[in-house]
Amino acid sequence: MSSSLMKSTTLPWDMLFEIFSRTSLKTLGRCRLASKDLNLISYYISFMQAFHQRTKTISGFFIQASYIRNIKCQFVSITNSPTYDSTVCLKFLPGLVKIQAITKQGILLCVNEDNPRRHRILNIISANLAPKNVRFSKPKSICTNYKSKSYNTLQCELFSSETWTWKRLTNVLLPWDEDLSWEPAVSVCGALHWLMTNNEIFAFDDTESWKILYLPSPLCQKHYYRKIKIMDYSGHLAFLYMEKSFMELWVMEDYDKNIWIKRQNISIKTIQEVEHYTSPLIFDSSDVVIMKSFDNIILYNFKSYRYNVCKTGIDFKRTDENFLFRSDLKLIHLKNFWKKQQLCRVIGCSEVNGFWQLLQALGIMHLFGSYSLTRYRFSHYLKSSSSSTDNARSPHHEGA
Amino acid sequence: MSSTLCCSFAKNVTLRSSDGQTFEVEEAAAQVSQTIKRMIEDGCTGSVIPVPNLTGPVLALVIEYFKKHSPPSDGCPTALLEMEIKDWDAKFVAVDNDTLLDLTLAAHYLEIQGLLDLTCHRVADILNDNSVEKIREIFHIKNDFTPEEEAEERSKIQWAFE
Repeated sequence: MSSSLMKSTTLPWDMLFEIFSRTSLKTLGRCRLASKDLNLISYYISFMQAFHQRTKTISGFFIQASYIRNIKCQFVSITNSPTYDSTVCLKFLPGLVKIQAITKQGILLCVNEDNPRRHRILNIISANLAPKNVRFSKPKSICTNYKSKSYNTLQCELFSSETWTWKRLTNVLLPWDEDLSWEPAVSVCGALHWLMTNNEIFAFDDTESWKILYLPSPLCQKHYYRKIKIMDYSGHLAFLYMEKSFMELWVMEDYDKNIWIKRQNISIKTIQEVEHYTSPLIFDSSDVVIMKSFDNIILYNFKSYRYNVCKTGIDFKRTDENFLFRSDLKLIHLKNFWKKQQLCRVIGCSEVNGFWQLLQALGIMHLFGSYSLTRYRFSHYLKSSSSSTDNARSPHHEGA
Repeated sequence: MSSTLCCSFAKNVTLRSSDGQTFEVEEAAAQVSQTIKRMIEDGCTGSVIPVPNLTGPVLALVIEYFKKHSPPSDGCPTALLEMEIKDWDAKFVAVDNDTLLDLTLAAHYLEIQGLLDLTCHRVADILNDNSVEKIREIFHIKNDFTPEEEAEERSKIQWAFE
């Protein structure tokens, strides 16, 4: 039926673009493995914009600023132009909610900050290594003496959603004057990465062990701190090193051998004309970096030197964290959940599996929120709400 | 004046595929394709319109699509008619993968937005149910990752396989 001429040639790029921008987030992930060309296309900003428009998914990130007894969290949409998007809102969660970690497929792990008891236990840096969740915390006595040397001790625990328990791992001993930074972990190459105070990178991988990665010389020296930000660049571990009018982009080319390659200098002169004191937050795609100034968010395309400024109303002079988030947003009605509120807003994945994962994540939130909740209660909730979740699913399937 | 109107109404054009097959189709129906519409407006209709990117069997399918999607002669399309066309569309793209991709390419070359949307959606639906290996097979893509690179890429996007 079809011509042998067309069979032998693969489709032109713009056709692949047309087709893949109509698939799902999961399929897009798998397509990144098909070939190098497809992998490249899938990280282009024009592609991601078309993808989110056609599949009606959202893309953006949560910006979180912590104050004393208050946390401000806002969702910034980057699907088209950066806007503060009120449709994605965590206000439905009870109490003062702080995002601890986020998975790339759109599950949030939140912690209720109202409960003062948890401060003692969870003075933590936590991140998600699906399906496990790891947390490091400071024990009461943080100094450990071992062979007449002092060490900074980090208590390390791993949460598994399969067994629903926290597992205590051996303590991590770091040199006395070193610590992990408080920024969210960068999850790439099957490991979680934190920059340490001495400019080394702490990597915790899914074999439950950790190692240290080194920055290239001379950046590995201590006084370069504050100017370096580690990030996920198209699935690679990367860091940006800030100079006065440009940023250097370094990408880890060989993860096992710890080899860095400098990709390019990113000029930020055009941005500095309108915004002072900018610093990078996160890469959205292979050519767009999201930056912040004191109270604005800037989307900067460093290939075309174009930028968008978005006012957020959050004061970024304080500590801040940001989480890249991609998902399709669905309104789901859950009955008798959270003080019999009839409606709550849920951020979830389109796949059925994703939906159950999401419910698990909600369970985790709840578990954190009040320690009296047991797993029984959680499974009871799943049973009682299964009918309403079915209702919530069906309109989606019709639409798809 | 009235005679030209009448004339253009029933006017046919002849399309020739890459392998030399010719097809006669109503001019109004062929204008579903923006490319052919432009050619007609430019006055290229005197002889046969060549469609060098399409083979005979694919062009035959596209002409079937033209006929179904030509603007109705008696005014607005009804809701019933739209439903019928939707059903027909669904059956139209229920073909084997290679034919589907040929149709997608044809829609692209001939600038038929409706057909392009239809075929791309169908391909995307097929992809959603398939593995990486199958995706490569469908598109005849060669895997140009080394095993080490592939393992590394796979670890980055583990969430897509859960």
